[in-house]
Amino acid sequence: MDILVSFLGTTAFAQFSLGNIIMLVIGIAFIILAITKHYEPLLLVPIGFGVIIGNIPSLPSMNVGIYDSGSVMNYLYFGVVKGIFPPLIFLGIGAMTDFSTMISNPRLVLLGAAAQAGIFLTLLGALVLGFTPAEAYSIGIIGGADGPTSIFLSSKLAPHLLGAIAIAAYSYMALVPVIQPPIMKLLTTKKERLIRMKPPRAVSQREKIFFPIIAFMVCAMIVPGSISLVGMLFFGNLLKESFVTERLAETARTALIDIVTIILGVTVGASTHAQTFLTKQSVMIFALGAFSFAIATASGVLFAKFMNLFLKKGDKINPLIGAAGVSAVPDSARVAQMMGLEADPHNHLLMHAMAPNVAGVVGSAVVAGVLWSMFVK
Amino acid sequence: MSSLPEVVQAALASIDAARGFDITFAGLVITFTALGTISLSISLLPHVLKVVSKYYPEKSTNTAPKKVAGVTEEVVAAIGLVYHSLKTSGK
Repeated sequence: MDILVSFLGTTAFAQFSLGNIIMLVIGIAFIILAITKHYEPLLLVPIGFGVIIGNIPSLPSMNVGIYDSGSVMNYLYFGVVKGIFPPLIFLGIGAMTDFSTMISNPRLVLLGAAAQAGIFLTLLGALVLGFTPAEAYSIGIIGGADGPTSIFLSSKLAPHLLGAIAIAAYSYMALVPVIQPPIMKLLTTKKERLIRMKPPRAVSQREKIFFPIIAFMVCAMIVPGSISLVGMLFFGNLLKESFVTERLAETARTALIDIVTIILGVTVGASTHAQTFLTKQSVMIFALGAFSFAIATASGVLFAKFMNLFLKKGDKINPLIGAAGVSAVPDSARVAQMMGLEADPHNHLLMHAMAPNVAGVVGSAVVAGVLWSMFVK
Repeated sequence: MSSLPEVVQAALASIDAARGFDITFAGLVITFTALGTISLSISLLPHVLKVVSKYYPEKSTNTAPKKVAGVTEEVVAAIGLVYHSLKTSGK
């Protein structure tokens, strides 16, 4: 009988707290949202299940928790803490991204830069709320709408906030179709939403091959802090476009990115222990994350309108595609397409929106490098 | 500064203490410079490649197989369907 009683003391039931129950509900909600609403299922299912894993309490002496040194989960989490997984994900993204629309219309790259204003304005907000500069930089990067970049920077600057920042980044990425449309509608007129853009020109294979090499060298020379993210992104793209490394490109965009996504998702989820996650700081991070997304969307749209002031009639940009400057590939481009079709059922903006969309991925990685550089002397 | 409400003054002071405005300005300038340079480079690329193509003409990247006599588009479509079905069924 005493063995049974002592065993009961080791079960999760004996150590459960209200916080754990709340986190379990959050984890289950993520899974339900992913399955029923299809909100970023490839991310929310692993993260949601990870949240459940991380909030089943166990005795510290059992060494099974993600923060218990030497546990299996702790080893898997190593790739997150040391910033190993984000560049690997970027490799896969590079191997599946077609930069043709961006190459064919280079001015749209600037929309990807403009949307990064969300990162910097949120950074200011975080400083006002009392976060340290390192924490503020990590929170601001949520506005880049890029989960791997957020994880990369917060693992370097504010590892103690990594769980909250990663969950906020991925949650808002999943909510792009909900957050962006009202802002886009508010900042554009019906006439602007009806603007038709010229179809993109055909891009030669040689341009596609030279592009990743040139773009990487430009980014790396100006912001060496972005080498690991941007380097892997453009390396992946070169594998795809060179046509001679198809096997490697195929692995990078399928098996490799899937394996890393699974491990990253489940460990980030498991890192959200109720004791460390359910804090006032996390609530503030979530509020700042929403602000960040809204500002990034608005900046992209407003910058497109600003560019239109200097463009000739017939060359104008539909400002809806400015919102795609927040990376979140391809969701924000899809939102631009959807909003364009709402205004004119024959105006397809998807191809045009992909240009600022992929430029946004490069932009957020560059900003991460810039912010990291500010701390490295 | 002194005419602003106390809350705003405190907010501005905390941003100023961490050099928030300087970092924001510098960060945006660097980001625009990096992406602007990429934009400029890819605008110039076709012109550079035009010159290169004069000496090293680009080979056709069309990898589509040549037409075989007797194999109609319907046959190709049927083969494609069977191949796709096999791939997706995991057999």
